[in-house]
Amino acid sequence: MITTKEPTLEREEDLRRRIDQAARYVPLDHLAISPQCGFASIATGNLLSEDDQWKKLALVASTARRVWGNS
Amino acid sequence: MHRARLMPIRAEQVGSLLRPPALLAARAAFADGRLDLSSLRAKEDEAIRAAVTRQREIGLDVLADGEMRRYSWLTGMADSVDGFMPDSVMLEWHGPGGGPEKTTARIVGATLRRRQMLTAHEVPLITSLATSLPGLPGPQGFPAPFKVTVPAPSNFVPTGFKPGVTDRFYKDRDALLTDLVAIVREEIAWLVDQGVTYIQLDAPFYSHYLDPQHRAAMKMSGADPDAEFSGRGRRRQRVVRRTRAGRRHHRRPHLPRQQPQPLVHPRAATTRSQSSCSRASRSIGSCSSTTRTDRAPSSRCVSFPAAKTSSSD
Repeated sequence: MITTKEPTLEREEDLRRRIDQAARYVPLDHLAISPQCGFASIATGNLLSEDDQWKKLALVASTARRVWGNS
Repeated sequence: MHRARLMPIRAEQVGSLLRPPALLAARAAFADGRLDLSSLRAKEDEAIRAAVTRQREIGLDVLADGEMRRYSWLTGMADSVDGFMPDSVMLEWHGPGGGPEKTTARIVGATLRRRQMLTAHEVPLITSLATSLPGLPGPQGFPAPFKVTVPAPSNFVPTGFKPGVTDRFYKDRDALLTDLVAIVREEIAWLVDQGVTYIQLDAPFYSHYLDPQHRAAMKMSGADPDAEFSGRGRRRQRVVRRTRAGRRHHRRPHLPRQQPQPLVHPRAATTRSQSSCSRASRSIGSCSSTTRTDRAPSSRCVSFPAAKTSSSD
């Protein structure tokens, strides 16, 4: 849902739609989100900036709060 | 015994974070012999503190050190265990950023002997940050949830077993895996002793068992991908079984009182690995599995002691 390989920031509405899709098969309460593994599996890192990285992680956190609240 | 409270994890980073430019420069200087190890460690500390602060500001549910001290996510194995040789195999990856890539893992050219813990130099700082920071998102005074990533033993079979070299010391891939499982088991037991509460086992090479190209390559070298994959699931259970991470909380009264319970979370997202995760972590009040059916309110939780702890342990 959130790539660590490219800088383009995903859209929250797309993430929420994918979460809704997943919730048809698995209870929403059993789900969580994270970016795809590794912004820097190797020290040199992927082709995005630190700013891009933190925006993606902030999107992960804010989307999670909106979907699951603070529970 | 104090009652456990389940803390759902909804948002987290899987593992590594981008190394800041100052750290990359320090790594290069260290490699050239222009910087000593303690100066490099200081730069890493700086990067880890900044990354942890940022993760807390953002509101991620679990903190990680971003693997700032690692060259790659799995090089801790060859750096800490004797028996690896300075040679690597090529692997093909698909998707964005994919293509043929020389793995940063090394081939096995002798019997493996662990020299030091893989994460020995990583644990002290993240542990001290987690216990000195007020809880996140739990009540003040609780340790912040944090995790340490460990490469699963199975990663070092496709990357480590080179016919003609490795088979002089290990008769087959399975024999190599047996030693690797023992090394990672010891690592997990050690991490739990250090107070680490969330251990993530990374196993991205599981995807190779689904990829036609890798399956064909395995068959050509005489391996049976399906039999091997089933075996991997069983071995993974063995990695955590009978370690303290795999036991029930009430059998671990020697852990510090305000200690979240250990969570072992495999990164690989496959049905089989998730079911073994479920088995491994069910007994510790936390699980990353979507197949879990028992009574816990959430399948992805870190369990914390309740705010009020009873003295009748």
